[in-house]
Amino acid sequence: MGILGANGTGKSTLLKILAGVLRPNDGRFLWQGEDLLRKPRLRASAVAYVPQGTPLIEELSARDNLRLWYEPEALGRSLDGGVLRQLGVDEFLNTAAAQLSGGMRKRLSIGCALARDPSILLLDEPTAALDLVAKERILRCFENFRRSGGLLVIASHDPWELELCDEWRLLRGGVLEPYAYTGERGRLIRDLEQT
Amino acid sequence: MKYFPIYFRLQLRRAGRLLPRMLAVTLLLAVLTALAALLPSKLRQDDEAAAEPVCIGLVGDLEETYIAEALDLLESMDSSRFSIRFVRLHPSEAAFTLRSGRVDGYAVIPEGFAEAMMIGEHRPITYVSAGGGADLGAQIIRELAETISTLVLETENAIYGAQNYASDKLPDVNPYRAGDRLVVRYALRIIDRERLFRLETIDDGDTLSLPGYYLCGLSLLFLMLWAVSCTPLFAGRSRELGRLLQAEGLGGAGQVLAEYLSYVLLMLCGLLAAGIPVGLLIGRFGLHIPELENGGLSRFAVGALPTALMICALQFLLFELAEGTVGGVLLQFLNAAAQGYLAGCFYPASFFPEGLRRFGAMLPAGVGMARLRALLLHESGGAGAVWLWLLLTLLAAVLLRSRRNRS
Repeated sequence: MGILGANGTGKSTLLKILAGVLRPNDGRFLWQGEDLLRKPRLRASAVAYVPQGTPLIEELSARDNLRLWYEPEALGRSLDGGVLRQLGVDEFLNTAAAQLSGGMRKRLSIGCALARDPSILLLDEPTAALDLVAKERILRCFENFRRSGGLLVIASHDPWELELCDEWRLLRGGVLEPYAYTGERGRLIRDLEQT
Repeated sequence: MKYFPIYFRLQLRRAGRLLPRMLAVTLLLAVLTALAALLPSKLRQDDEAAAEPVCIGLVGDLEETYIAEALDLLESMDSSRFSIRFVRLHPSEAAFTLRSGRVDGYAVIPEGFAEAMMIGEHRPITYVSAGGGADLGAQIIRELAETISTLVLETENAIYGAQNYASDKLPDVNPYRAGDRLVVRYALRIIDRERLFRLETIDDGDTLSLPGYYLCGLSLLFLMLWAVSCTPLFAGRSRELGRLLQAEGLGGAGQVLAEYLSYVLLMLCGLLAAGIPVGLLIGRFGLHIPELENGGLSRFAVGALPTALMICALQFLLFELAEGTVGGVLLQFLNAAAQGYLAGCFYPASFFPEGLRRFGAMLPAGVGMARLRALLLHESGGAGAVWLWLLLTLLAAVLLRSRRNRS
């Protein structure tokens, strides 16, 4: 699901609420008949969130950062042929996070988010400011996640990211409205201006 | 709290990465602090060794019996002989000697001074100085003249009054012998100065020695400034990580506790490393701290730990408030300077007005200073306030972190 909206309309806030970072005033987050806002443990196991910034410990290596989220065995498996391998995190495992490029840091952040094999992946402009190669690698990983039955929720304006989605919502005045995304840039800009 | 152990372990690893750099800065800071403590002490010793007594010239009728005996008493018996030296000068050389700086001033005693005094004639002593009347010698002579004048007047009044009373009312008492006894008693009072005054200082050091005071003040200042070397540990923290951990169940309290404990362990390593060169320096220069005799240093170090923990908690809170490296460093410096000043690390707090002193004593540094002093004096006071500040600052840090995680 792609979430669109002009700057300041609340896309990031919505994702933070779904991720459990912010508490909503009201409302429900229903998943398989359960309100995840009232069941934090279930939400923590079902939902993963990749914020715009990098949730990393800068002085530590990529491996140490992964250790925070992965059980030792799961980390080994993922590096051998799992999602971390797909993301190419194994290429810079012993490098400090502070020395990684923007693309590497984003791949590492996504790798950390996928540690508990979530059903829902919340992404806040995941490939913003990345070069094409890094973007392609990350988008391929998202595609694999979607194919394996996962739900991607992407807050974005990026056509590449939005094309990964099956359905789109436009956030207007605090309300998510169904939106027919066609990829036509002029129309998208006009619609965003109206929000 | 399943994330706490691993988060704590990773924070320890972070602290470990910073350890070499932190140790270098800590050693430098410790050596500078030790030198700051040793230098005034050394200079004071040098000053004392090289101290010249105030030299006052005397011109005039010095052979007169009473004056000669008084001078002899002052030069050989009175304790002022260590601080004031009298030099007999000829009137023709007095002015030249003063200009050449060999005397700080000279007093011209008029001829027949004592006899004139006895018959009530006023012949003033003239004191000549190069300092326009405002120097120490002039002040001493002025005070001396006033004291002598008062003593002579009151003594004579008392003696003559007593003699008259004895002649009129006590026929069995010899008034002249009673007068002599009274004179002797007055003389003893005047000569035995130690019993006539009590030395009071405005320092609030109770019985703390000056080196002991240095130790307290500089230890506290060192602890507060030490945090600057740990700025990278705090400036590089990711707010996003805090938010994610909070969403995953490791809230502000767990995060702050893990980070604070690792910071404390880093501090302990630093203190341990800094203690060795400082101890060597103190041993080398022979700084004597009376309160630490008989192995009191280790007891003081252990007793000071809660104070160190409180200062660490305060620094943690400040880093939580600050944004970025520059902001963090500035805030730590500002805090160390302001609180150190109010707590009496630079000047004894007793120099400040009462209100300011009370305010300073309530701040964490003031509380820490009071605790360190109590430790040196083998007292138990102040520990409760230290623990209270420790808890309050940590609580504030937790609230701040939780709020930030939710923003």
